[in-house]
Amino acid sequence: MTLAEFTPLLPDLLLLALALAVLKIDLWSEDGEAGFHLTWIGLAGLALLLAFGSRSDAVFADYHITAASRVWKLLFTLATLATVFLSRPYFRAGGNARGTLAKSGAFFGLLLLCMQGMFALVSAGNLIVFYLGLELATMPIYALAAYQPRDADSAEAGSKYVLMGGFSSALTLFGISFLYGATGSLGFPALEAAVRAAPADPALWGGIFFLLGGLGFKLAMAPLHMWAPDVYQGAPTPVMAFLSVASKAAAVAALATLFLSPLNAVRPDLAPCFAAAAVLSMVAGNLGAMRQKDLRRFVAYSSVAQVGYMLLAMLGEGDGSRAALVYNLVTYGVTGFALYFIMGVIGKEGPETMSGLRGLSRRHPGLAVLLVLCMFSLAGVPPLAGFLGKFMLFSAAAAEGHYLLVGIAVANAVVSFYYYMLVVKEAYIAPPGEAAAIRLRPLQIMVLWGLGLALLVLGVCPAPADWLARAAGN
Amino acid sequence: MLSEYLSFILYGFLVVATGVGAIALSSLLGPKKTYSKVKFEPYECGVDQTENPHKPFALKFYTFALLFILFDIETIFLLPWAYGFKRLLHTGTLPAVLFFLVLLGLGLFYIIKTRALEWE
Amino acid sequence: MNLTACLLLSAALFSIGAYGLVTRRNMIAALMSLELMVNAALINFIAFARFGGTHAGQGDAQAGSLFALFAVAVTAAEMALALAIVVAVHRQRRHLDIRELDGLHG
Repeated sequence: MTLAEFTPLLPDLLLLALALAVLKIDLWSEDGEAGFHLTWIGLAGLALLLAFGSRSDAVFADYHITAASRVWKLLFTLATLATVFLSRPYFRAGGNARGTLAKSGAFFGLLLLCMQGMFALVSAGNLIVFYLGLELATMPIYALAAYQPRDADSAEAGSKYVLMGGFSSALTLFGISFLYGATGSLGFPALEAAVRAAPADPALWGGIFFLLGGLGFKLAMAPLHMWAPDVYQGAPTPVMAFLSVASKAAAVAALATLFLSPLNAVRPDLAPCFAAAAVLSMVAGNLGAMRQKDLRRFVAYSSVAQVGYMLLAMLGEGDGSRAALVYNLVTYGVTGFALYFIMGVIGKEGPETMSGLRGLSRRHPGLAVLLVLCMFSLAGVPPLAGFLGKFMLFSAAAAEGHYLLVGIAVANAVVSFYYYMLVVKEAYIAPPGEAAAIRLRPLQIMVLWGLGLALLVLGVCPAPADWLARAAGN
Repeated sequence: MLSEYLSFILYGFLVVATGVGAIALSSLLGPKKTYSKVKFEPYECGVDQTENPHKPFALKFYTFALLFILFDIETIFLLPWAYGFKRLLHTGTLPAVLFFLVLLGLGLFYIIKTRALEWE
Repeated sequence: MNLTACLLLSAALFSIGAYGLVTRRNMIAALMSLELMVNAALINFIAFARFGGTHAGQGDAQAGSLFALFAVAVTAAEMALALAIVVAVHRQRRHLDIRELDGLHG
């Protein structure tokens, strides 16, 4: 093999080098600035490389570089980049009411290692690579969830996540062992052939159910979502952001990688299973979100409901489903980060709870408008980004004739509008306390405008996300 | 068709039965737990307890122990390679193993530099 | 010793592990139960690699053994991380009772 043949692998190798470099930067730089700058510059370069670099597909034994995997990787890179920017104030003294995070190199290094796992996950051509990717994409988050120093809640979140995550990986491993027993191989092509040849093998089905259980935990799909509210609430906010966007995208990618290609033959038989999980997730998420006082728990339940909508795509046809999933993740990511940005701003002085939003319209009208846009987008109100994503998901399921299911989903979307409006009510109507006006720095104002415009543009003119989605489809 | 599934249904039944059986048996045969304050008080031949037997346990070396487990387990990747060293030497696996060792070495370097191996 | 015996052993281990994970109050005991569940899966891999799976035709025996090796390493890393978090919890709360971990609620 010549060096030139490794060009398609360059993003993955660069990410590894970047992660190792960032991890070690704490050894030389104490203030944490160097780690931050190295990470964001590296990630921005990586995003450019993925978007405009080598387009050729390549197969390195069981590591497949394809157009679809590049799109997923770009998505993970952008989500991590947003997390890195979001976490900046949390490392500054006085940047957050909950306390300052230390050792930015370790923090960003763990994020990057996590991303490396996601990269492996979408490039997997073999269940070994798939499993290693899945584990590498989860394990750093155990540590990150417990990252807040001297904080009992954060340690509790970490311990709950590590127990639940460990349980889910044991289920996954047990499931994979039966898949291996049923098909006799771990490579995706051989797996696909074996599944096509004997789709009714009981061992295969046992394996699939355990695997689905394990992935369901990672995805926080009801009824396996119980860990999500606790972990989201206890973990530092940037970690919560990473969990709810990047990590969720990785779990969805894992589901899509397995069930839209090697196990595609059994997917129609699994439809009732996905449908039940989708309905349960929507209902559990929406009912749970309604009575939350803590914004982070609210985000957790709302993301469970979003997973429910996304599971609808697993019922549709391969390419359209993948496009709908990617589009939805993009819009959800933008909306999510807009909300986390607001949480970061209010978290500087007060707690990140509903009552912290009180009187936001007077403290900073611009932030309040962004909050309204976020909530409308999450609820799926037409001119905003969230609407098109939902529309694509619903039409993917409707195209396969699941009208009842789409009806339930639409009803849920309408119900969810109620509690999203509760948040808006808190910002506009609830009597403001004596909290002072919020002053944003110029950079923050630019971010605010950027996110607000993105929410509008992605809803009115879907071209950028559509391009991503189409690239993921083929 | 049904007979094929029968084995797996039996298997699933067994999995559930073991769990349920363990709970049932332990509640049937196991000692009944009665919680009372007196019972949890330490007993030393009728003499009042002088110090807490649950002494604080020095955790200074716990990182050392954890890191030992990790590096100990990593050798399982080297063992098969060492076993087939002569045959594998000319199959192009050497760069891969060296790469793995370099990564391990970088980890060790990080550990030493962060003073995780110093007990004091 | 045949495939069925191995699968029964692994099923028993897996369910004992799952039972322990649900019932044990101590976090370390819960982690040990977790380890049992993982080991059940490892036994499955080795058994399928040794005896061939339930499928017809020639399987890839090496793949199963290889997977078991990787899974052992991954689980060791996971346990090391879990134990580090357990130490962090103990430093904050001075106990490791799972049922008393209720600081987070809505």
